[in-house]
Amino acid sequence: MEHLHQQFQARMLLVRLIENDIDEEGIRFLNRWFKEDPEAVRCYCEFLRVYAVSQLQISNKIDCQTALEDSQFDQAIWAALKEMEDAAPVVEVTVPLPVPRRSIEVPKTEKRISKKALAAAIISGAALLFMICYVHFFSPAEMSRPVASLTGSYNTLWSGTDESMPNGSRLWNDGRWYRLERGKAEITFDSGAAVLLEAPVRLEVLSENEMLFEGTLTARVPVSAHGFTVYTAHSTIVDLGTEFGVFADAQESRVFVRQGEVELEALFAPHSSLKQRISSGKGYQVDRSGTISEVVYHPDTFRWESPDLYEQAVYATNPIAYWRFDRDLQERLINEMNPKDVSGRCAGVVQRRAAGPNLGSGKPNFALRLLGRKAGEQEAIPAGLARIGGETTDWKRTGNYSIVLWFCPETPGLQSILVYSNEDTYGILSRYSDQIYLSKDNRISFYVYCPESAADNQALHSISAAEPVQLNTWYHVAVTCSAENRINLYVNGRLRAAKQLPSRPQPNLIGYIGCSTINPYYDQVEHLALSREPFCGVVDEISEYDRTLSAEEVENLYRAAGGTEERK
Amino acid sequence: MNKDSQKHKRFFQFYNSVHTSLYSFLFVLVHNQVDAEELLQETAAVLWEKFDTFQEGTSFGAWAIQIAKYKALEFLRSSKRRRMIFEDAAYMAISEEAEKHSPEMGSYVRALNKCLGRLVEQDYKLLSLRYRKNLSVKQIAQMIGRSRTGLYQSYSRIFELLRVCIQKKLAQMEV
Repeated sequence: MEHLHQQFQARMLLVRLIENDIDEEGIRFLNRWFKEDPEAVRCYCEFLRVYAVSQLQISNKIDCQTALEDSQFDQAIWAALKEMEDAAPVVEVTVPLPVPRRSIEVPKTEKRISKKALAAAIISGAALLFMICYVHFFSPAEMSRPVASLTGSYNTLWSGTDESMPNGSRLWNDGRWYRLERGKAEITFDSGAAVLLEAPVRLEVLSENEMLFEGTLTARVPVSAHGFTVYTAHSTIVDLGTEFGVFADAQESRVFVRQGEVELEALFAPHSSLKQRISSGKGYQVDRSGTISEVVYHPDTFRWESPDLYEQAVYATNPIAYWRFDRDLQERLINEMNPKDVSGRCAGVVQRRAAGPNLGSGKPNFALRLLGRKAGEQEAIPAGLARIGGETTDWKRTGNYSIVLWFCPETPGLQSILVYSNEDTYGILSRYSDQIYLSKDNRISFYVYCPESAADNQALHSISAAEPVQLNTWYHVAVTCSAENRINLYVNGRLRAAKQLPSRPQPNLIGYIGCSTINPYYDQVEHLALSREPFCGVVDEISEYDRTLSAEEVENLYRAAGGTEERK
Repeated sequence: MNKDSQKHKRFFQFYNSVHTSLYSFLFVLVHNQVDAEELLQETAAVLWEKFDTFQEGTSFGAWAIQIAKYKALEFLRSSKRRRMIFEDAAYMAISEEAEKHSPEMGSYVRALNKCLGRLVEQDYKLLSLRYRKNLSVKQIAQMIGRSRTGLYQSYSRIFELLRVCIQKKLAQMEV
């Protein structure tokens, strides 16, 4: 994610460097860039070469167009000169007295103003006033213009813009990056092309039909906007009349075509630029070296869809983070987090695109399946744990919080479904808190650790639902912690257990799905058994909040998925 | 035509063919228009002085680039000028990279001209104000009522667009 941003900053600093307007900080940044980015030298050379040759070409160019421009420039310069003149100090000059002229006396007559002339004068005055107001208050900067509009927002959080971004906001091609930090947003370009963005996203609108992009999007391009172009760090994607999806980051760009055709071009192919036409139902990727290769296309990836009812209900509750496990981006993150092979207690593999709970919309919903070590199996298998959180900088976990998820157990017994820790290790966690787990007798439970409490028996707390779970059944679970240190456990929309804590629970940031936990010391105390196996089952729709969800909100979330009871 | 005027004409032809690549090479190395122009003149003088030693049939461009490289590195390292804002290693890497692409500029310039033609009017105007009118970024900013930072962003965007466009055009030419 940082790669493209670093290049963007570097480019701006290069212009400053060329213009002798760079400060020490900028120079340090460029030196660091050269060291950190293996592509920096090539980028630098290409950028400065374009600058130098453009300069030569434009300074030598004299043609009709430029002659016309000259007159326009001159007007602009004249306008600037006029302004300078207006602001210049008054110079007194001696003017000879005027020579009296003879004139003929004409008898005064009564002035009559025709109604038409009066109306024309009023209209002219109004028009003039409007022009003055427009120029002074509404006219955009001369060299940049709005080229797209925000036409849909779902729980969005934008940065990179000074203003809030309500629907209808215009996006300007003035070189700024728009960053969608959270949620989904729909942007419609003036050409008619529309893109549905899924956070995290960075984009710059370049024109009515072009954008520079990093993140995940689905594009719909009408006939009028054919040629709509998305530039990524490593590729150029040109629409040839279609609906397509893009995932782009510093490592690669992937394009999936749902309908029609797209041209994918690798920018940094070893010797010459490579192009690939992608037809409907196909997916291709470009990596950093410029190599284009086909990738598996999932028909449900990059579907242009407004959020389903459950998703909308989650967005309405304003979560800090929301993990749907539906998209390639998240799947890839999970893959990257696949830890080293470990043996012993921690084991499990991740199965992507497992069937998720039916959220009432009838649309396919994918989930994350964790295959922990099954009972009786002793051999170590590659661990597959997913880490979430830790990237949400505004969630400090110092105040109230809530965590909501769906899960479906496949094996009975003590299992850690989701646990939070500040340890940046995979596999087994020994210091942790906020654990949603299945107890030995298969009851959904919530564990917290209150470090400020003096005695051990005051520090460790867990609450459990009364009824055990059934295997292969989906459950909607919500846990909340209030400012008064009260914890609640909800299952399928209903409050099942609650407890008043003596002090604040330990604020942990990083969530580990299915990660086993160990605590040899407390394991010796039977009723506190804290060591838990990796989860074996499916997890989906994890949302995190920096506030306490009310019982009504939790119930609404469950009902939004059509839930009235446990569903198989 | 006497021998001297023949030599003069020959040099003029050679030099003209590499002028753009020499300038862009120097510009990439010293990252400054005034310095690059000064160095170009100095390089041209050395090329003329040593033209007798140039062997016809070898690449004039490669020969000229070597001399330009020597002049530029000497210039950067001169203690009086203190022009080196990057570390030595970076300049060496830049010099190697710049050298790779310098001699063949014909197709590059053709591609650039096509790309300049594709720029939207406002962007082309910005370039013209800077290069044809020789106005500084500060002057342009004042003139059109925009911040300098905003203009730097615009220029960096325009050059990036041109860079991407040139690559596309060059690839098309190869095909």
